[in-house]
Amino acid sequence: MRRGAFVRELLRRPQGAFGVGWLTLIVLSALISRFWTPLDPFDTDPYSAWLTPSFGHPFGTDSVGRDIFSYVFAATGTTVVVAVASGVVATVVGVGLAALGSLTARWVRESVAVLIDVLVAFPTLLIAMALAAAFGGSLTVVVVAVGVGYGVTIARVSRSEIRQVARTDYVLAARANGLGTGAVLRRHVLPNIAPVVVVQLSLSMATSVLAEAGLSFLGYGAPADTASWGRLLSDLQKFIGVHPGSVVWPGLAITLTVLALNLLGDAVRDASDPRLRSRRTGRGTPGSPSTPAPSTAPPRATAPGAAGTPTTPGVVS
Amino acid sequence: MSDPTTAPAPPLLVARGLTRTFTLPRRSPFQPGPVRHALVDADLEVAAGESVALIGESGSGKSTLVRLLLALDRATSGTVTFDGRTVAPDRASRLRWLRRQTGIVLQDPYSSLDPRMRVGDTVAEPLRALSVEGDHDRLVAEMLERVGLAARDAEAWPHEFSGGQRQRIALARALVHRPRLLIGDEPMSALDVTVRAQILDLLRELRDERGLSLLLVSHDIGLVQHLADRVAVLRDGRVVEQGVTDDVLRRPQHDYTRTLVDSVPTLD
Amino acid sequence: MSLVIDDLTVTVGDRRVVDGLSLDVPDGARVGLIGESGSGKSMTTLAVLGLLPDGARATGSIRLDGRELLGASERELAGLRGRVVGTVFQDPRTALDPVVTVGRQIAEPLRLHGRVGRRDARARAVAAAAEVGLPDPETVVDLYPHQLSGGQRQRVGIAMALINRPGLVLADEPTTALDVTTQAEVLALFQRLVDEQRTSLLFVTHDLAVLSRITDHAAVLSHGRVVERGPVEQLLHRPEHEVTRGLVEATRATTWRAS
Repeated sequence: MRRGAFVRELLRRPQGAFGVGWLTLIVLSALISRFWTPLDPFDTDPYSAWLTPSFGHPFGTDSVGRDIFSYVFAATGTTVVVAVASGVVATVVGVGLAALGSLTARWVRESVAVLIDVLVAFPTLLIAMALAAAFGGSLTVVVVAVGVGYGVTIARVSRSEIRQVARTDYVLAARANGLGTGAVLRRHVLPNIAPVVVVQLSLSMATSVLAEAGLSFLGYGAPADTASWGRLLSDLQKFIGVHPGSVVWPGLAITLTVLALNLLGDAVRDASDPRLRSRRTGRGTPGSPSTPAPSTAPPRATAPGAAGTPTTPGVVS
Repeated sequence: MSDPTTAPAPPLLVARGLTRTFTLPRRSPFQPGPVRHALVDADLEVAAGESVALIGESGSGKSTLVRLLLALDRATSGTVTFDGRTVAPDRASRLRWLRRQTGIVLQDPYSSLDPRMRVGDTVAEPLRALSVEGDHDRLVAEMLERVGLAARDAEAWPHEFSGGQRQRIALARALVHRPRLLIGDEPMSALDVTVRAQILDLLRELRDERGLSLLLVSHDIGLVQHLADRVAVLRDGRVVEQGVTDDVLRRPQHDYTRTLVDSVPTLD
Repeated sequence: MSLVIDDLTVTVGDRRVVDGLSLDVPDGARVGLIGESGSGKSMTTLAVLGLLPDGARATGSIRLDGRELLGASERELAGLRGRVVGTVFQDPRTALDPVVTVGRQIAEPLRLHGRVGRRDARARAVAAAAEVGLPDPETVVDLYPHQLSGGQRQRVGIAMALINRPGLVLADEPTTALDVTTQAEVLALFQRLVDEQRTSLLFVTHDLAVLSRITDHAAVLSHGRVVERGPVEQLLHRPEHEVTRGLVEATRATTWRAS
């Protein structure tokens, strides 16, 4: 797929534009916040607690005087790391298991199928909590738990897609033309299951953001010295009856990011489908008469099998 | 078209006693699964430059036979040889010799082309897979023009074309590497009748100019009559009758062949 | 029952898929509609039934025994479908509900339009199954579609279409998806039943040979308009329009010639 056309198609759609726009903002914030934040997000100042939003504190301050804006800004790093890392883990686990479960010998396929079904039954959050209890809460726990948890869902979905693609005529033709299994996988299977995987991937990344927020909220995720939207939410929600406004900021950040990921997934899937491109060329559209054959003479009626009975077209035989 | 006065051409593709049975999944843990006999003791021969048709309805085993002939499936028993060499499933690299000499066109023009690959890449697939020498782009362009499309159509996507045009693309892909044998599995049944006539002409031209051998699998007796020198009738996995097209179709020996021929609606 | 289609135009988006089509199916006649894919023939059938897809608009007139169908309420049309107008569709694999037994599906038009009790309905379904030549009708009615072959499913479709003894039958490529031997049997069955029940028939197909076997008069469709019409015999042997000629020549070039 030519790069330029894909990007153009992506940005043409509002979902794509929003997704790319918001996520670029988040990624840039993550990068910048590693080196600079307006104020130190962990700098506490009890005399500046619960300040309303102002120029110096665009989102106000929290119960211990931390600048909420700087905290939210710094926490983008956590979000990006978790989303990307768990996305990678999920894809590797997912597509790997799916390939193992479709293109191998029957006993391997059936065992993997059972394995996938068993793993899907485990609730991700519970796994995360169990891991946190064993190894202590950390981002790694979140990444592994969500990565594996969603990876298995991706595996289940991809497996049925792979099997469908493997049964198509174009794969049969490819094998008949000399393509080996590896090449078939690379050239035909992966590009054709990609749209489904991309959507699942975007969902998994969205889930990971939510999971990290949720787990940190519960105390099983990011440790206290790592900025996290979930943690902030947890801290602020205790005071929601008295200071309801400040919860909005981390809440909005989480919501918009999850939304952006979901929409981007859809947009990427649509933008990469050659069939959904805006038609620029007017080639023979399906249903219209096919292009004229090299010879426009009426079809000849001689039959090679019939022992020499030439017939002229149109004459009653 | 073979000239009856010259010596018979050497056999190119020979299948002897081909059998393929499938064991279906068990219904109960105590009994073995049911066995389906897709193909039983089938013999088939295609000589160099000859056009042979395999007539069969659905469930006759014709698709199974095609896969066995192309080493895309393993026979339960029986042999297949191409130009004297044994044909059996193996790693793609070991089967290159066979892939080089065969090309295939399938039935459904809407699923035989990868929707995510440009037409040019699809047509070039055999060239790439078999590491054929020469300028691939040029070969693809030439082939596209030969089948009645334009060289610039290589940049287009399959969904931009009609059924008949897609079948031409499939034909281009099947012949771009200059195989000796073309196998068609119901290549026209999904096409409108006028398109069918055009593709039929095209097939005949390509066959005649390249000295292609042709194995056509079809249930369409009309097509078979217009294209094949010899015919084999397949029913429930068995070859019930074989011979010169005219003989078999006009003077059928087997009941099934007779029923087949009588069932075809004709223009009268 | 007579069907008169007058200047029917169906637009989908900005495309005219049917363009000023006029067609007459007199009472008891067997009329064919032939054209290649995209010619608008299926759309015509759907227009008669009032089952055009969303976004399609139809103008003109479709009169069934003088009664105007275009613009009629959904309620009126639903009352006609399956009772007065029977339809046989092309694909036996998808035209039947996979989770309902064959017997219940055959009886469905009966139960929808009449006050027929369950036992009565089953008996009539068995009778209908026998009429269409299904083997072992008592047992067949309790089977599911996937347990039948394509030809048998199409017979079920025909049984459903005819069970209420409709005055008009619409058949949209009913034998295209079938094997050639099955096709011959199903066509023969169709002919016999239509003759016996004296229904009018509108038979849509792309196959000239099938057309010549089943209909007496036909109209040739191209790009949504009728380019030629007349007795089938005339269309085959003395075609006038180039589309008709093209069809005839292409058919001769690709069809079995017995002599």
